[in-house]
Amino acid sequence: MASGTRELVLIDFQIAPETSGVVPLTLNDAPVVREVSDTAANTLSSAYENGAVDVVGLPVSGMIYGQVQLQGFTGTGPRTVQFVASDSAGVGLQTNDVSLTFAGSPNLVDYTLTVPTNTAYVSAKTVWSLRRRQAGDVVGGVATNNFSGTTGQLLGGDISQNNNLVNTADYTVLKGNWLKGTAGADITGMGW
Amino acid sequence: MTDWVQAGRYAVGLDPMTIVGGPTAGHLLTALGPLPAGGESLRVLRVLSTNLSAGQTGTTCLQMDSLGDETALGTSLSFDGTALRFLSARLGADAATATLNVNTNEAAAGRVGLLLSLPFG
Repeated sequence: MASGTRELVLIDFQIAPETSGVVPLTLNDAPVVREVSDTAANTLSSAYENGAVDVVGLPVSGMIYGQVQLQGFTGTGPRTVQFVASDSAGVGLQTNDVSLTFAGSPNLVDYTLTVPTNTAYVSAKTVWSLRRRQAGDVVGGVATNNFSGTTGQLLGGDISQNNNLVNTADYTVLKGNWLKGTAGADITGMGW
Repeated sequence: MTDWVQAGRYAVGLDPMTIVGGPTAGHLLTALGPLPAGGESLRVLRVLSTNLSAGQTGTTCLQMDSLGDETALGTSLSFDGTALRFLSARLGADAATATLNVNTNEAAAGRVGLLLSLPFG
């Protein structure tokens, strides 16, 4: 080996997501004893210097923000929207029932959620709409998810059992409350 | 380590075959050896420190301040196996023609063995 400072081995690591701070790297004798040899198989004296990996931790939480639009909704005032953050496998991480105040057309309301950094999806639902789920990758710390527009708004109709289906039971409730001022069947928030 | 080098010497014919004998006493940490006297150059094997981000992959380097007479070395690298997951070890830029043996049997526990040998000549 030519004299001087020599780069001998490159060692690749994967850093665990929850790691932060200094992780020592220690040269020692198990499973392989420290030793340096010359070409005649003689042991050469050597000093050994340890190192460390200084790990910059991920933020403990991320932020998802955007807008919510409810299909055909013209009402004003507060409505509760339930948001669920889930990981890449679809496992729920947290649920937030958020009161959003709607006012004016087109009834777009801003929302902000603080979510775990491993959030991959966020979904939204009211008690009379179908749940819509969108990708919400917050690896960078922030993500934008708009539940609005033709393809993003929350579709109304699940007024009966809040089971994320629009079925005969919902129709029965709607039919029974047709042209009545019953809040439970008022999809559009128009008052009846 | 020296056994590995000696085996290589036999293999390429640098030394005549000899009767099996072996050491008569245990060999423990003689690699550390006496430190050089003042003014003498110091051979140092070090693992470099580095800054990495959680959740990402990264690389550190095993580096030697060589005096020019080394042909092989061995060492183990220990680390917190819950914080770091060993992925691989590969030859560095100044050891491109060397042979690298990596013992990963205990890598999950944070212990990796490294043996590196340069070709004779």
